[in-house]
Amino acid sequence: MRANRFQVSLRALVPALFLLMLLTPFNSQAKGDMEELLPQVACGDGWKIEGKPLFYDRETLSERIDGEAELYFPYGFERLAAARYALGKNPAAGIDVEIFRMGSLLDAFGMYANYRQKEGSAIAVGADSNLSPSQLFLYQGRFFVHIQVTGADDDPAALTECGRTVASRLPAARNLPTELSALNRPEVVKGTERYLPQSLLGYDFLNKGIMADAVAGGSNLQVFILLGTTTESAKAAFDRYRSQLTQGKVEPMGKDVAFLEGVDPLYGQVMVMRKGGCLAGALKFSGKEGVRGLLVGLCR
Amino acid sequence: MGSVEQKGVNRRTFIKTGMVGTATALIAPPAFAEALQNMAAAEHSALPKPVYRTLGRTGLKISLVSFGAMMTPEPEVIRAAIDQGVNYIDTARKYMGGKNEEIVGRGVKGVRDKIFIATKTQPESKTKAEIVRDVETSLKALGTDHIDVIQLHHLTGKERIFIPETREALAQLKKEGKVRFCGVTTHKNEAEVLNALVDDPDRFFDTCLVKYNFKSDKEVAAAIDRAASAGIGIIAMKTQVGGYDTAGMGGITPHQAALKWVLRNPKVTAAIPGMKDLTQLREDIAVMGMSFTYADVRRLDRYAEAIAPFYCNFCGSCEAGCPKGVEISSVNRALMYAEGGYRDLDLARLTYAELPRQATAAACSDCGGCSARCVNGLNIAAKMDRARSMLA
Repeated sequence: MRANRFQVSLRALVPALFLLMLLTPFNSQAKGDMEELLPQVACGDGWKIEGKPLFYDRETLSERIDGEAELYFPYGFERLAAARYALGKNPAAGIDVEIFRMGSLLDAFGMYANYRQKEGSAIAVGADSNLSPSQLFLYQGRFFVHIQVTGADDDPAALTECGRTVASRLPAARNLPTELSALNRPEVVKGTERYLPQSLLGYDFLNKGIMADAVAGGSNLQVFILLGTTTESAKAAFDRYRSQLTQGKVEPMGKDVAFLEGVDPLYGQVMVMRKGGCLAGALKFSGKEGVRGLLVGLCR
Repeated sequence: MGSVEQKGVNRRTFIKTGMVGTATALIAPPAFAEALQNMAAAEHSALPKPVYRTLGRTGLKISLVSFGAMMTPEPEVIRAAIDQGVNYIDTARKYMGGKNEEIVGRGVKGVRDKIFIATKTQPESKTKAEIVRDVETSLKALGTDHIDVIQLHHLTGKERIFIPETREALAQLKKEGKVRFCGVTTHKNEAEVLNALVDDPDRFFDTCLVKYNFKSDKEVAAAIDRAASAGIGIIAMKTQVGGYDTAGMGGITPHQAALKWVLRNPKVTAAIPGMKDLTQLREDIAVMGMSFTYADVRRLDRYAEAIAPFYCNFCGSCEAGCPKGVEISSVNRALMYAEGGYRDLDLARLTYAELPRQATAAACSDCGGCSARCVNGLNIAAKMDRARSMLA
């Protein structure tokens, strides 16, 4: 019986592994120079590569994007592959493709969320994407991609096609960062999630966390969850944050659970909950109704 | 069950207390620093008053430490800086695909009339339509009816300063009251850009945001001096030699010393360090009340040591990987004379000229990609590229 089950598992596993190898042809190569990620000739219909692809690392990124490079470093930036594609009939027109290899899937999401435009729309490419008339942002695996049309009329169709071509060359995994699942609640506004690897809320001791807009009790607010915390570090952050508040009321709620309500000098009224290693908070709310319940849910 | 604390600390005193803490932590042993910080917390010691300088011929009086908003995730951090007297905020259309301007817009809401906003057009924008589109989009994102200083972003040479269509667009925008002053930004070939601004007979651009720090060439300092004397408002960026890891230096960071080094130059109107949290804000604005001291010299020495791994130690192990036989370590040595502590371009060129031509970086021109690898992780291709353009 046991042997049969093993044989069945093996039979299922072999094709799955084969399929995985087919779907991720660039995964191991991505550790190289990333040239294989850029379409060699065309990026969508009619757009031909112009010149050679360019590559940048931590030392040289600012040569391409100036001081903006500093925004990428906390997100584990490793390498950028960039190319420009031209349209034969209009030499001034170009599509610039930039593929950034970041530290992790969460880092790639973080960069994507930094650039995602409110008015943009999602298209079926990458783990998530944001298309506006002249730009497309997407992320897939640990790659953050920025595609932009310049010197031509807005061309969302070309951006979409180019985005699909690029995404097809990236490692196939299209999953979202698991860390975001904590924000998967009805009160949280989809598409507003952000990841900050440092200085959450502008406090250096609130290191590494996710934030999002939410609606509770009919009131708009923002919520945050600290990431990578242990019980000890969550407690330390909780105590440190409490010391920053101009008014603070701590309510112990049992073993390893505490609730803090106070006034943040920057944000006004805040609520924070610590449960073991979970530290979640809410700010910028006009009414308290439903806020505490939301925090309990975030730390569940 | 609960305990209520009424500290009566507002945003201004909150920042003050933290500032004293940061400053003492830099200079004192831990126990002494803690004692000083506790004292400061109790008495809310005085903050240095903000210092203002005139931004060249624009006449704008801007804070010596101004605000680089690129890294700032929350508008409340900008507001905290404004509360401390910071009155010049720098952003760009390009940062975060335009979202950074929205953050700045939220940060200055309600106090716009007390603040000067500087932003930048897209680096690739040159035509009249592109420049006008960028400015209109920035105005919308910033939630304002005018931009105080609009800058052409990321100039790497003098060419873009003289594009007639760009100027036509900027002149039109000035006439319409949508922009007040025009400037440029540069972090490459800074001296060429600065000198071109001075030599422009139309004196079209009033400001220059320029990379300037304790590792800058003398040539850049001289160009800054010349430009400022001609009325160009000089704002320094990358003052803290960003990108280098200073973790190995312990709790004492070199950032204040580096900022002070820049601001002791009276030709520099202001610096715009990037600030993403209150700790950085405290550290930076505290500099407005400090002078550059011998201790700062020592800190910068240590900083230079900390970034030493970024410089070639001339081991020559990379040369085996070069099919062209370039004497990479010798080229790097010549480069060091130009870029390192020596700052001696003549010596650098002499050293470079002593090499056989086939062993110089000129040989790299024929290579599709660099196969030489540095055991310390230096980007050899980039260094050869610099040597070729600087020393040939």
